[in-house]
Amino acid sequence: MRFSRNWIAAYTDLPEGTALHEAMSMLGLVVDDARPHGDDVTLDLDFPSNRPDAMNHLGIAREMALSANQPLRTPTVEFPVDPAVASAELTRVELRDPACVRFLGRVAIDVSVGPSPQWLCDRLEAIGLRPINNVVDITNFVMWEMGRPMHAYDMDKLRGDGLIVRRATSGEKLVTLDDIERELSAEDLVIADHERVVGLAGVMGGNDAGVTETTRRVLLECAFFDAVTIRRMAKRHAMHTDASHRFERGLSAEGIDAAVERACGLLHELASATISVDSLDMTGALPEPRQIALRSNQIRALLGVDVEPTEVSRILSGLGFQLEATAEGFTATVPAPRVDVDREVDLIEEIARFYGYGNLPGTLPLVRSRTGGGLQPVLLDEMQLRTTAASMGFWEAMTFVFTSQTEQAPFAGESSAYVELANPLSEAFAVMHRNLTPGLLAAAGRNRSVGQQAIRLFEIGRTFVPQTGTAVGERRRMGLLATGEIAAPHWSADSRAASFSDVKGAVETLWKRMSWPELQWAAAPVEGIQTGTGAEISCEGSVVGFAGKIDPAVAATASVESDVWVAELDIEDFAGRERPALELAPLPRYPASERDVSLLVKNGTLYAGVTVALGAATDVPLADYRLLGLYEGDDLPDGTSVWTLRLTYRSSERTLTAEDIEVAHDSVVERLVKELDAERR
Amino acid sequence: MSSDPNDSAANAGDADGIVARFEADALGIADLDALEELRASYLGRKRGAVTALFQALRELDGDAKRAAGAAANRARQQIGARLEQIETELRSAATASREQAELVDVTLPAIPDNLGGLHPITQTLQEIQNVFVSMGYGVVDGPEVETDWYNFGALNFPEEHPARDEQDTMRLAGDLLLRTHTSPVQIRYMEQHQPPLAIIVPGRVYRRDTPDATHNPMFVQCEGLLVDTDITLADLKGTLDHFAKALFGPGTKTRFRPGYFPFTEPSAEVDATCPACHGDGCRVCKGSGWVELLGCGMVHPALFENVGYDPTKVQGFAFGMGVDRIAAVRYGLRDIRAYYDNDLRFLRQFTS
Repeated sequence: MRFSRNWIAAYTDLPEGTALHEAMSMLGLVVDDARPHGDDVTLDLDFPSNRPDAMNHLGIAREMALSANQPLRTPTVEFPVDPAVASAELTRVELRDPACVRFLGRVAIDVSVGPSPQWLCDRLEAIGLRPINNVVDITNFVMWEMGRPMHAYDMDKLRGDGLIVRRATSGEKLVTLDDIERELSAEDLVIADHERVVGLAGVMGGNDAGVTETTRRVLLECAFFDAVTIRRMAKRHAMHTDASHRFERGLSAEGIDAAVERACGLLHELASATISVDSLDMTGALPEPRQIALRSNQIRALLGVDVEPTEVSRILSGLGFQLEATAEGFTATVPAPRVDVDREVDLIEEIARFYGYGNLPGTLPLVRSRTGGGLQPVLLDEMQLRTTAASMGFWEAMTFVFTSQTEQAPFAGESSAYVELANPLSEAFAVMHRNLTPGLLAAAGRNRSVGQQAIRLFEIGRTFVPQTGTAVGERRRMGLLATGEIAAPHWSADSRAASFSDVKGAVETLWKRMSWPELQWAAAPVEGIQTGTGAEISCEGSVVGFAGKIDPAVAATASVESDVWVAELDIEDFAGRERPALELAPLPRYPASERDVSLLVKNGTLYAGVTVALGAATDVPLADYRLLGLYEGDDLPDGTSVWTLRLTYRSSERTLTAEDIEVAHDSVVERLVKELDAERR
Repeated sequence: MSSDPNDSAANAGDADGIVARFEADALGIADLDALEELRASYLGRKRGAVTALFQALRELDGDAKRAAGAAANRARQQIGARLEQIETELRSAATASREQAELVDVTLPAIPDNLGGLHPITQTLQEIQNVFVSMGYGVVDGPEVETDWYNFGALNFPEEHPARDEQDTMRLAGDLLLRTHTSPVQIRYMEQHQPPLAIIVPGRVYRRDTPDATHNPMFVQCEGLLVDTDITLADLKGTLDHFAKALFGPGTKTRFRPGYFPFTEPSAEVDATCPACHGDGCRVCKGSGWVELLGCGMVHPALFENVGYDPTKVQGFAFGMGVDRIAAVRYGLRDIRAYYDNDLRFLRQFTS
């Protein structure tokens, strides 16, 4: 919102240069930008939305003057009135809707419409307004000086006897001052003559009854409309004007008289108008003035500092509050334009503002909490997952939660429903994601496009699933992606491309790190995953995720040509779980012995068979086993391969003899051969 | 051995002869095994030539025995010392040759690390959390899909007020929306817990902003809330000043300016001296020497009423910061779209 430095300075002395910005920001008015404009400076202020009363040059000057303890020079308004000209005899105003709380009309005749004097043009141009003619410019000037939107009608263009404030009838039309024809609805509050609408109340006037060079008689309007009514109208018509900006933030019935007086004075001075002796004052139900008890001890309790009653009185009186001393402090009567002041704390904020935030002490409180400190378990778990994934070579990504159905569908399935945004930024951001994988794939694609070959990414985030009605389910999920080389070519080792085992290993390491229940991996068709590479991951009997190689056709849509291995898990039911108590095992007292066995197995045999065979071998002292090698060579019979397993034998009761071990090993191998339908080599 | 030292008689002349032969034999010794063989030939208990000299002493008497004994002792000493010397030489040669064979070029590149890393926003958030956790605050989170009531109404945003427009909201069906700030968790937490309480609330928030150098439609905030019986605005100042110094360094100064948030009263905006230039003015702070740190204030009594607290009995403060923006200030990042591009060339620079 733009203001003129010189204009504010007309009412009070201001600090020079950037000291002004500093002083303004210490009152809560942030100077976003300051640009020279002739010998003036245009200040772009970030105005808090709760201070419509101060969105004007005099309002700012009032605060600056009080803050600096300087006098405020309010403009003097003096003009002659013609007792023979009475507004009430020349026209009428009728309020037909309570959304207009007060309407003040006043007539000026013999108006000489012409260009405004230079000083007035300078003022308006400094804040980016285009001078139009002296009458229109005066209404704009008064709004920016005193904060009250105002409109001037050419009385000779009004049809019938005066103005009516009413709701529009649906379908009525109005060409507003910006030359746009607007179709009105029954909810629009309008100013009308007896034949047609001439203005959109509190938003913009119409072309039909506007002031032009030929205008001789003017009806000034300054009103107080209900904030919500104006806000809805401005939204409905997608109009945002200086007037609507103020009305929707809340004005008051007070302050109208002074603004109209000021405008009349200027009409007399600059347009040699003759001003009517009276006003047409149409007033609905006005709110009672608010009175608030202010307790001195509460000032200290809230601010942590004592403020002298004389200082309290200086500040609040300077802002227009009427004070009455009480045993506990004061009773303050709130000036009507201060729509933001409602409670004792609001008064205390005003005291703090002018006492100076910078003058308040800083103290460290004793922190007490019934709920304890530290991360809640679910956040602690998320952090541990992140650090573990990072320590395994994955980089943390953050992807947008909104995406397109096209991007999600390959993984969510064609028939999945999505949480839809009612007002998305674009089609590409129209729905909430159900899976993290598409976002990670897109990130891999962007990395590929800038020449990155080895890509490992992970993300922990919420996904969103529609539930009954409009309800939305939020699920915490973790996704991992690996493509390209796991280890870059290096003198110390051969390079190696990412594989299923990399993502499976990462997932299992994460699970182990968290002491979550064991995962089961089963070959299964998975949406978006190349047939024959997909796994369904289960835990405690429920499917919790998937892994596999992204279907090359899907990967190609993200411009990734290499194999992309992913895993994605729903961690909602695990993160934050109480960890099982650690059961400490005694260290083995007797030595272990290892034996290897090679088995010729038919292709298509699942390694899960080893787990089945050995899981049941509780009668032998088998301590551990692992797959040492997988061999598929031309020297083997067609359709077979050789698995080499290393088995570790140990007893907790004694040192095993060579014979013990042979007996156990033979038994184990026999079970493997049977379960896997294999041949011992 | 080139000769058998035992075939001579045990006398002084023999002793000298044995030493001489030993010296000749010793010249050919090239390794420790040969050395041990040599030692056995001369000093060995069973077949050592010098040992034989001592055995021969039994046959002698008087001066002859004394002289022969002295000669034998001399021979044993000389041969022993020489054997010692050869052993030392051989061992040191073996060490040298092993060292030569196992020479390491310590300037060769190491085996590459297999480290990934945390997102810069996560790292900055961790540091923020550390400061408050060390002061006794809990860290909690809440839903990202919120109702209009929790996101606005309960936080004292008036119905149909422009204050709601300042956080351009992405809406879902019904009265659901993507939370525009982490503040709703203040309400949810107070509804479920009694004061005194001290929490911070990190999380993603959403606003309908088209991505550009300074805006993203999704970003991370961290909210703080402290409620007790007698918390003051001065306490808020002290706490946030401590926080700024912990985050940006002990020389950091803070500045409190009046601000407006519907859910706090009084409200303040807090600036910190720019961590890049320490207040001199630079690109990061656009020359002002200050960077915006966060917004804060004393919890508005309407919030206490909305959660069933008695506003005459409790007071508290709340603050909220944009973690993305604080990270951008710390790292001097000009275009915050980089956070969500997930370009590894960017992410790999945050190595901690």
